[in-house]
Amino acid sequence: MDRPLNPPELVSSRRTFLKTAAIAGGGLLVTFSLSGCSRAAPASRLDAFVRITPDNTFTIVAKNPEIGQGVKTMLPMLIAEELDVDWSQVRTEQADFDPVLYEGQFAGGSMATPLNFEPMRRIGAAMRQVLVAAAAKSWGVSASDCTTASGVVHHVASHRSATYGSVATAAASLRVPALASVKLKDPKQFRIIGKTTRNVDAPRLVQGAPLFGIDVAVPGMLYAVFQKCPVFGGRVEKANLDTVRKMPGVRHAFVVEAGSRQTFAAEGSSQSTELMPGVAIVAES
Amino acid sequence: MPYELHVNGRDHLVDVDGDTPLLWVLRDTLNLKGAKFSCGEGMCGACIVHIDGRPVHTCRLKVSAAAGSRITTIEGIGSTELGARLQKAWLEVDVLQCGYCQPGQIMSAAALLQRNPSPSDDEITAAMDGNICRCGTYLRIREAIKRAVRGTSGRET
Repeated sequence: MDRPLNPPELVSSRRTFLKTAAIAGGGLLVTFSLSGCSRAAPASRLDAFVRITPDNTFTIVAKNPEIGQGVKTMLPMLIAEELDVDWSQVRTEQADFDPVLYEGQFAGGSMATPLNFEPMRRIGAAMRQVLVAAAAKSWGVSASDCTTASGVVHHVASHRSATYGSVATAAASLRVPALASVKLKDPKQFRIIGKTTRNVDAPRLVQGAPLFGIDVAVPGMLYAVFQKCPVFGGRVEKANLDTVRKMPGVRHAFVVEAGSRQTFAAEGSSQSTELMPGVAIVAES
Repeated sequence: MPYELHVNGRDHLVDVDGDTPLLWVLRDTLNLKGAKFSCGEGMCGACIVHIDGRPVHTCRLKVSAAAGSRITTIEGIGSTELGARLQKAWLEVDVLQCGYCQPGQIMSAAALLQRNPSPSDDEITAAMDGNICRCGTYLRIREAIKRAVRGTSGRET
């Protein structure tokens, strides 16, 4: 069962099943749940990266955190390229932190592109492969005789075509090929990679949409701030913590031992904004 | 104590300490997260909104001083013809990288074009001098302002 299967064959394992769910705006959300495919690890769940809707639009996930370096645009581009869809058919989504589904969810060192360039392409290619297999199976033709473009599978010889969205449900019951076995595009065929692609969040950013960490609010959230010792390597001699703790809304105040630097810190909930010398105050607001 | 704020055409009654910077009232009380906290010292421009049409650093402005004034934030500027034109130009030029400073940049640019509809390069530089962008998008910002002045949709990249 764990040999690479190409084209994918229909399996009836209950570990492989189709999930459908109502999504905002109507229609069905088709996801692939493929936990039974051990050879597909680590990306054993393609649906963690791509969701297909019947209207042939694609939600592609960026697994790494967007911090202004552009990965929320770049990582989905890699998948979209090999999935062989048009960028205009794609909307991108920031992944939640989930170390079970995703690997290497970090930002730093300019590593997102070199580390993910091929793995993300393989995810897109694998999904394309099962979609082609589903179409070919329904037509009774060989998958190798089918081509794709703009999210549509074509069988030129019989003048047939099917959108990915129309075969996604059938594809979800097929076995996903081992990622190492999928065929990738020749870079000369790239239509998305290498092209200037605009920041997917730009239209919302110019309107001041709350897309940054500082914009996040959760119920009951407290705000903590700290003030560093003004002298590098200095030590805290004393802090008026008792006074700080009595300020409106303040829950706690304490000296933070942080290596050679020592800081005052406080947490709490108040509208206080006047900082005590050397002490940071926090507001819930 | 309660203060009446006129923000983006709507009236709000907020019950906050009068010394609270307007920025935090906008962000945390009124949930308008577009104006950004950055330096906290009125030096970077990320927190700029318009008070009666003038660009003001809200990280250093007490809410008590803004009560009764007409406040326009990045969330509201797009409903003006000029603001919409600037936002469009910003997208056409593909100005932003991370985008954190850009609400303040756009608000400064809007204030500039309100008082000077056709600024020279030097006037743009002078007017935008108080807005810092760590991504270094300054040249594209200038290009976008000039595009907004022309009011034309230009080349696509």
